[in-house]
Amino acid sequence: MQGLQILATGAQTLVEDGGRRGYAHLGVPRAGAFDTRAWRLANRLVGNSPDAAVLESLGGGLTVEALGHLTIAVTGAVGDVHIDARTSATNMPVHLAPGSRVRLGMPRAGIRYYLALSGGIRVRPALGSRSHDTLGGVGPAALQEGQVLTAGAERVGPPLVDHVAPVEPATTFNVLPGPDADEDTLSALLAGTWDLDPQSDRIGVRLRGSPLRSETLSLPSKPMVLGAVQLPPNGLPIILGPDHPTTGGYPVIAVVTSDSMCDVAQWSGGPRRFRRA
Amino acid sequence: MELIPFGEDGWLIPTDDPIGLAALIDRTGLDDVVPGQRHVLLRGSQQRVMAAVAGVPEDRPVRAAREVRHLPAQWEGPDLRHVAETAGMSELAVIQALLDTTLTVAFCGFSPGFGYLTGLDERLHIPRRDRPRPQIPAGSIAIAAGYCAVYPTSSPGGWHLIGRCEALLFSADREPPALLSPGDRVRFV
Repeated sequence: MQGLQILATGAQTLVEDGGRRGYAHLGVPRAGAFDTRAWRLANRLVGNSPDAAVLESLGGGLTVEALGHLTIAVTGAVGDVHIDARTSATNMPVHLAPGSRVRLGMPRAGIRYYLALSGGIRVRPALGSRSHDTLGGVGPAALQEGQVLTAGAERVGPPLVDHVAPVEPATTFNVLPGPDADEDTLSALLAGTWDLDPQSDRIGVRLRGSPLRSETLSLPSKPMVLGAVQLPPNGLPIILGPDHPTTGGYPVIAVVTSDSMCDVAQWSGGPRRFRRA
Repeated sequence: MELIPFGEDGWLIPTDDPIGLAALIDRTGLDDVVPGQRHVLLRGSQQRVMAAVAGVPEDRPVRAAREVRHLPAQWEGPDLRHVAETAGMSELAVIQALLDTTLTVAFCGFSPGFGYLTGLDERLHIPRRDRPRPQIPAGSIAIAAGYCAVYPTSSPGGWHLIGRCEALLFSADREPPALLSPGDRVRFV
């Protein structure tokens, strides 16, 4: 058997793939990897089908032991990948012998690591996806210490890339105007410098800064999308993440592009700005 | 039809009848078709969304009324008295009003399987609680802001709790996973 035993989970480790489609009308979030660029790259580095499930791990600390010979790759956040007594890096395939232990160090940039295992992760899909949804708990449960994950059969060939230079997440997020955008509020969003509220998660990324004036307190609830920038009455915008509720009543002043949402996923703090896509 | 772009792969269509419009949309090739209170969201490639919109007939057929779903209810919630006082009704009258009403699932959201039920007796249209509760038990029947709902899972919530329902509202192990879909009619029994 090939697989991984989880020795420590870090702050939170979830199984994620491309997410769910077709259930939003029943209130089921799309879920899926928050940083989709890192998810795809991790799969490419181990020769997996691009939509295989991977582990998404918040901060450092995830520690796993190899069961059998296997190849893994860690992407997303930039940090040390400790393998037994040696130190390797992110963004490259790593071959593990049975019993090898891998520990992810504290990220130097970014906040979410993606760990792909050659063959993918064999977990039962729920509603067409192997993604854990933190809003409703749909999909495979958050990983627990001691748990064993079995490799799947989603390897499609040898890795097509052997190393990709790690890229620090961008500090400017591209946005399109939202359906409720008025020019003044949108301009104020673009003119401001924003920091991260630590109460952010996969449901919503909350901004700190000078509050925007919110003319409208609430609107008829409308269907929401990933990246929607909602403006609640306190004037501090919230960017909706992959586990966002499927409908919401706050005005949406902008929508972060899917590419920039990968940078939002890696935002661990520090000033950020928005610009028109 | 007016189409409002919503991000790179979403379009909102404003409508007075989101459920009726959503029912007429061919979902083939679309990622999601989601009714809200006054819109329908179509998610997918621009080409697919435009094709789906072009395929909606000009004349909307009259929808056949859906079968009524009966949800077993027990009327014992911590806010029943407060709701009765706010509405100027007795607790029994509140319960009777709920039993006498056929509600409709206008749309879903908040959490998987959470249906916003409309059609509530006007006297029961009361605002949300000032302070949301951090934890509401699964199966709680609640009202606020003109809607009624049953919480499918335990979650935080700001609605008034007036009863409990034993039905399993959401399970990812069945198809469809949600007991209630937009457009369904509901009666408490």
